[in-house]
Formats: sequence, structure tokens, C-alpha cells
Amino acid sequence: MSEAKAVSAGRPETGLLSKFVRSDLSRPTTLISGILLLLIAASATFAPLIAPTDPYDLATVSVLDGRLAPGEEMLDGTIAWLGTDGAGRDVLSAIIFGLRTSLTVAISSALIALVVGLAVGLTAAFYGGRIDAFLMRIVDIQLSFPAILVALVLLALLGKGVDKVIIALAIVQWALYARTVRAAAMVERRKEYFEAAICLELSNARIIWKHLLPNSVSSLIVLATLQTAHSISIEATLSFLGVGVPITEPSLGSLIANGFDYILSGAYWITFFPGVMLLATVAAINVLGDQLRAMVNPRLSR
Amino acid sequence: MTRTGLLSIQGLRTEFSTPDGPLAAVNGVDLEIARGDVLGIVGESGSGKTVLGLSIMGLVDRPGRVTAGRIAFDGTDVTAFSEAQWQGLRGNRIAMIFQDPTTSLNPVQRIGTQMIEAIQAHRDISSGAAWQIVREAMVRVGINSPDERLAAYPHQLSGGMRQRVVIAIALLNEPDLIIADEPTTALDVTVQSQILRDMRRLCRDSGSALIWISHDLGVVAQIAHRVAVMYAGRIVEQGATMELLKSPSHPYTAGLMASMPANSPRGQRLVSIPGGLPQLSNMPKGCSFAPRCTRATEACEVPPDLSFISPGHGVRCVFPLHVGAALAERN
Amino acid sequence: MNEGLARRMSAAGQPAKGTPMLAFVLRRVMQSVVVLFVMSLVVFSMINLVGDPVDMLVNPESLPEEIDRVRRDFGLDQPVHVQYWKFLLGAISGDLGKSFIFGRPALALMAERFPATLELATSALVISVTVGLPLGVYAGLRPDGWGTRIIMGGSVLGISIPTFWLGLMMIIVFSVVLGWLPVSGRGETSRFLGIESSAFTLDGLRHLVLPATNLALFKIAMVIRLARAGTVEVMALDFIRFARAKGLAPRRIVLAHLMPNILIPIVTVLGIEFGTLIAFATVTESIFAWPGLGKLVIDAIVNLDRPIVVAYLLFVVTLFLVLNLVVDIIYALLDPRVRLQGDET
Repeated sequence: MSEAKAVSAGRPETGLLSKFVRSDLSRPTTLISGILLLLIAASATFAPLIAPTDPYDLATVSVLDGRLAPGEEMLDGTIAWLGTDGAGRDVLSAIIFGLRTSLTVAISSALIALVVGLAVGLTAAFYGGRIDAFLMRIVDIQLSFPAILVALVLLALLGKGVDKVIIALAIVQWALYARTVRAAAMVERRKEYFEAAICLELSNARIIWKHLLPNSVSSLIVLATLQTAHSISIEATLSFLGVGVPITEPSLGSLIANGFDYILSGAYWITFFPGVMLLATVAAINVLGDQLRAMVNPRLSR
Repeated sequence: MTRTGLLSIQGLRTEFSTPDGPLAAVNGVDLEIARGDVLGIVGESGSGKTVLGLSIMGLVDRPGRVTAGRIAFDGTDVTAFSEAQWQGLRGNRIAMIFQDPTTSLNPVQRIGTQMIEAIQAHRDISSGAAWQIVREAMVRVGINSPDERLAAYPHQLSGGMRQRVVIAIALLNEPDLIIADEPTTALDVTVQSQILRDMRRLCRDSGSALIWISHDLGVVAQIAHRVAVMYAGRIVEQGATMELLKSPSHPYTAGLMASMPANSPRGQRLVSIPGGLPQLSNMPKGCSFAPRCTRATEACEVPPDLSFISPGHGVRCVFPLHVGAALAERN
Repeated sequence: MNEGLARRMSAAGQPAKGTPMLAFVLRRVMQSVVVLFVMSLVVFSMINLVGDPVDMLVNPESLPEEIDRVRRDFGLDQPVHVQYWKFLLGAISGDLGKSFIFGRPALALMAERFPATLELATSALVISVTVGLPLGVYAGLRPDGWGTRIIMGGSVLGISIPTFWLGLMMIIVFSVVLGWLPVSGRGETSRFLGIESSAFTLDGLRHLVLPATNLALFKIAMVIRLARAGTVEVMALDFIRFARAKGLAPRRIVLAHLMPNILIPIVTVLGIEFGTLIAFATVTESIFAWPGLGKLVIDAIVNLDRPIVVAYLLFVVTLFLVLNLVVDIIYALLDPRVRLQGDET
């Protein structure tokens, strides 16, 4: 225990959050992104409470409200601030619910990928040798293909559905986590005390948990942040292409796809606003992620 | 021997702005160089001698900036020159040679191209004519089979050869002044002395003045007519080479001389000056050498003025060495 | 700096210390063949788990005998491993099966569609370099300027912005509102220097501009970042200072000294990224109804047209393996440091 403490002292991850809050929230772009992200997360979490209407309650949605321009009033007196789509759904409400789906997919897939990547990366770093070479070769091969393509193929094989998209995105991402974890753990592995720990016949699990894992935490946080933004984008693209989440549970991407049919008739708002929300979400996460990365690894911050 | 003035620097101050405020790398430097003169500037790394050289070339980049003083080149104040005016001066009337010959040349361009462009930047001349000049320049710096070398890429040449190329480039437009910033430090000792000899000869032939910047007083003594000793951004002692070597007046100069291998008896430990350069951010109030100086007293807490030991031999020290001796000699 | 390059430098697939080049290449080719084989196996077996393509092939009111006949015609009545074996034998002789929908060989269909995709990807590549390089170099030369802030802000936006959505917005602005450019499809093509392309006719160009720009967008941001990082790095080097000391004009320094030095890594990365362009073309082609490979495969996925999906996959996998191999070889040849550097483990 004591040696673990001694080693972790002075690492960037100790107090990463507090450091982040103290030093970097003062920057305007970071502050705006942070607030934006909080708002987005809150509205996604409390979607049913916040959204003006329930866009998927067939009893209240009326085709007669179809394609209302932003600001027009629907039959039941609610104002559709961002207009309505072809089926008469309030776009604002659809966005809030869509955000929920998008975030659920991105975050769950990130978590699964994180766990798998962590396991593979630590295994590779701990055992080294052939096991390491084999695992990293798989990682290399997978990473040599663009994520969107791999996801597309997986969904072509798995079929549609929220669960399928989560699985596909997790498969797309695990390799990156594995590589990051391994790289960080390898640094630790080369240090002398690691040999000592092995000589002391500490259990493998204990060595991995106490020594290899802590060193990779900060880079994992950064990676997970940036990857979440990335997977929101990929999911949206997949749903837009019609191979992602089903129409019954639309994400931002499916909303945009839905609006695609109306752009030629001038009803731009059906695609425009979900896209703006998508962009805002991804950009906010990217800005915060870049900031985090700059803190964890100042060398890259220029 | 009467020489007309070429470069005159007064009160030059070059600062680098940092988050903690500006730091003066060059802090009130006065220098005079006549045509054909060879001036040596000696100092430890970090003493500001390179920044001084770059200031004369107008090559100080942000966050650095010349903030005070005046540089007059051939009677013209160049301190407020525009970038275009500097371009006309650089490489044409003032040339500079940098420390590391392995990095001074563009790795993906042939030697010949890099030489010809240096001529064509200043003269409207055909490539064929430029090629002739370039060939001759190569021969002059002692490179045999110039055509072959001109067609080569830098990595195909040895370090000494590359530095010769760099010197040849500096001489191409027959500049009035050449600033050589430790051009031999990265080279073998034998190559060093060769290049030193060649530089002396080349400058004499072309009548160029030379500023030779080095951390090595021994090297400077071999080539310079005059020596200026730099410490923490200031020139602490300046004088004719022979006189300065014979009677160093600033304790720092004396320390530098004592630490030269040639000056210490065989088998004895080399003397070195205790301590290191002060941090630019934390400069002593008075004489910047005082913290390392054995002669320092409270009187050194005021910046020392320049005093002249003899005509042309100035020193910035409250308690200069050899003054008694010099005076006694005079009487 | 850039992940592609860093990834490559750290990749365990570099030739190890002392490995002769030929052995390295042979080993990599063997590995590629194994990857290709495994991929085909995985894809083939998994694709048979999703849906029944026969449903898509016959009229829902067809008689059972009719359905069975179609099933037999396409060999779908046989067990999966037999189907795979047949496919494998065919694949070796260059036959990747017939499209269920078009009833024509998959390979022929792909060959027909490929030029359009290649044209799109190449145009996007050209656009990303011509736009991204100057902007990135400018940003690198003036790190504190206003222009730089706008460029770098724009590149963050470019990386964040969902490409497909931007494509839609481009259609709304340039085609629907302004009416300057056609909404979709590929224009007239003509032959020039033996290359059939739509870039040689005005109509073709008008059709090409939007999709190519859309596809280029992400890469522009990437080129900007690469060029800026390279510029900052190279401008701090001694030979640039020496070039300035020679009295060269800034223009000459940038064009003759900076550019050649930053171009090597950028070109390498773009070489690798060409594969991604082809992959991303699936999205762009779907938006702009561009009759390329990507559109073909998306339609095939939606319609369960298995042979096309499998053939496309194998094609893309091969493309990537080849690109990666070529880049690794070039890298090993160009950079002695890479050649000498074994895997750190």
C-alpha cells in the first residue's frame, strides 16, 4: 500500500478534476462548453419533464400539425419553437428525446469499450512477450480501418437496434482504449519497483490493480471524453444512413435523416435544429477534451 | 592604422517577454567595430552573446524584441528598419554563421541551390553566372571538386565540410561584416583550427569585419584584434586582445583566463569560477558578477560604471584588478 | 500532433531491428492474406445470421415452389459452410458471386461504380490539400494572429461538425435557396487523357463541387492541423534562421525551405487517409446520390444483398491492407530511425 501511495503522489491524476475546475474553467470557451454540456446532460436526463410535448405519444401527435415553421402554434395551443416535422411532432421535444438516445448510446458504448480495452491493455502490458505482441497486432489491424466503416459493417451483420449500435460502437472503440492503457502501463512496468513487486510475489491482480492501472487513469479520462464525442458522431451518421437506431427510438442522427426528405420543400428546420444540437454537443465535448488533454500532457497543448 | 567606423551600437537592450514580465538578455551594450576589424565576444552560454549577434542581424524573434538603444550600420540607423530593409542588408552586407553546421542547411535541398539563392536574393544575375561565383566560393573555402559537392545534399557531407559551405555562403556577397556564432564548437579540434585560420585569411582578403562569438577565450585570442567579455547581458570588459590578456581587469575575465587549460601548470587542477550565471529573472541589484566575486563588497550593490584603465580598455568594475600595476607602469 | 503518424511510429508492425526488407514485406503480405481470410470467414458466417434475403428477392405473394426455386438458384438452400466453400473457390478465381438484386456479378458492379468513388475521393483529396495547406502554414507562421484564431477555431468546428449534416446544409444553401448547384447525382462525363471523369465537363464539375467539398471537409481540418504543427516545428529550426540570415524573402523561405520539409509527413498521412476517404464516401454518396461504391453498398446493406456487401468488404479490406503495407514500406525506406527501431517491448 505504502509504495503505491508513494508512486501515485505527484501524478497528474491526483486532483485532476479540482485542477481542471480551478485553472481551466476560467477560459471563456471552456466555461461556455462546460455550461452547455451541463445543460445538454440535464435536458437529456430529464427529457420527459423538460420537453414541451411527448413526441412519441401517438395520442397527442397529430399529422395536422405537420411541417409547422418555427414559432407557429400547434393545434393544442403549444408553440412549436423549432417547428414540427412531417408527422406533426414538435422538433424541440424530439431533439430533447433524441439527445437522450444519442447520449445513452455513446456513453454505454464508451463504458463497455473502456472495460474491454482496460482488460486487454493491462493483460498485454502485464504479460508482455507473445501475448502482448498478439493482442497489439489485433489492435493495430483493427485501428487501421476507419471507425465508421467497421461500425457500418458490424451493423450490416448485426441488424438495427439501440443495443446493436451500442455493441458495434463498443467493438469499434475498444482497441483505442487497449492501446492507451497498455502504453501507460508499459511506462510503469519498466520501473524498478515493478520487478520488486514481482519478486515479492504479490498477486498478479494486486500488481495490476495497484501499479499498472493508476498510471493510465488520466489518459483514459481524456480518451473517454474525446471518444464519447466521436461515437455520438458515428452513431448519428449510422442512424442517418438508416443502419443505426430504429425509427421508433430516434437519435439526433435519425431526426436529421427524417428531415432529409423535407429539405427540398424548404422545411429546413426539421434537419437544421437537430444538427445544431448535435454539433453543439460534439463541439462542447471536444473543447473540454482538448483542454483536459492539454492539462494531462502539457507537451501537446501548443 | 586608421579605420573608419562600420558598426556602432549604443545602449542596446533586447528583452524577451515572459508571463513573469520582460527579461533582458542583452542589457545596455555599447560596441564599436571598424572596417576590417575582428572583434571577439566571449561569454558563457546564456550570457546573451548569441542574442546580441541576432539583434545586429535583426533576427530576434518574438517573444524577443530590441527595446532600447541604437544600432548604426555604416552610418545608417537600422534599429527601426522594416523587414524588407533588413532583407536587403542580411546576407548582403551583414552575414551570419551559426553554431551547428549540421542544422544550418536545409536537408532536402541541394547545396548548390542553397548557395545560388543566396546570391540571387541580392543580385539580378543568371543562374549560370551565379553558379560560377558559387564554384569559386567553394574553392576559396577549400572544398575540392566543387561541382560534385554542389550537387550533393547536406547529409552527404561531413560536419566540417558543411561548415565550410556555410562560410562560403556567408562570403558570397562580400559582406562588410560577418557575425560568426561559435562556428567551430561542433567540430573536431583539428578541423576547428583549420577553419579558424581560413576565416582569418578570408576576412583579410575580402576586407570584411568579423565578430567572432565564442565561450572560449583561447579561440578568440587567436583571431580577434579586440575582445569584449560578456556577462549576464552586459559587456563587463573590453579592450585590445593583447592588452586584455596581459592585464585582465575584471575579476570575471581573470577567472576566465585562469580556467583556460593553457594557463594552468601541468598536473594541477583547473581553476573554475564558483557558482553560475544569475537567473535573468532574478538579477543582482548592482554588479551582476558580485555574487560569484571574491572581491565584492557593499560597494558592488550599485551598478558599476564603465571606467577606462587605458585608452580603449574599459571595464565595468568597482574594484578592477591590475589598475595599480597599470598606473605604476604609466608613472 | 497527428494520430495517424504517431500510431504508425509506435505500431508494433514496424520491421524489427536487423530484419531484411524482403522478409519484412513477405511476412506482412502473409499476415494480410490471413487477415483477409479471417475477415471473409467472419463476414460470411455472420451475414447469414441476419434476415432472409429470399424475402427481398421474391414477390410476397409468390407460391412456395417459386420461393424454393429462387432459393436453389442462388444456392441458398445449401448449408452455410458449403456456401462459404463455394464462395471461397469463386473468390480465388475472381468471382465474388452475383448480386441478388441486379442479378449480375458483384465484381462487375463494383468495377462499374468504382470510378465515380475514385473521382470523388481524389477531388476531395485535392481540395483538402489546396485549402488546408495554405491555411495551416499561415496559422503556423502567425501563431498569435487573428486569422490563426479563426482558422484554428474553424478546424475544431470542422472536426466536430457532423459531415453528413453539413452536406444537407450545403444542399439547402447552394441548391435549394441559392439554386446555384444541382442537388444530387453525377453529371456528364467526358474522356480526357484516357481518363473518364466528370471533372472535365462543366455539368460534371457542377455536380462534383458539393459532394467533393463535403467529403473534403474533415480532411481539410486534418491538413490544417498537420501543416500548422509542421510549420511551427520547422520554422524554429536553424536552417530557416540561416535562410533568413541569407536575406531571402519570406516568400522564398516558405516555398523553398518550409514547404518541402513539411510536405513529406503530410503526403504520407494523406496516403494512409485515402482509404478513409473511400470509406467516408459511403456517407457522402448517400447524401448526394452519387452513383459510387458507397451508395451501392449502403443500398445492398438495406436490401440484404449479401454478395455485394461481402464483395465490398473484401475490396475495402484489401485496399486498406495494401495501403498500410505500402506506407509502412515507404516509411521504413525513408526513415532510417524507423528502420532501426525495433518494437519497444
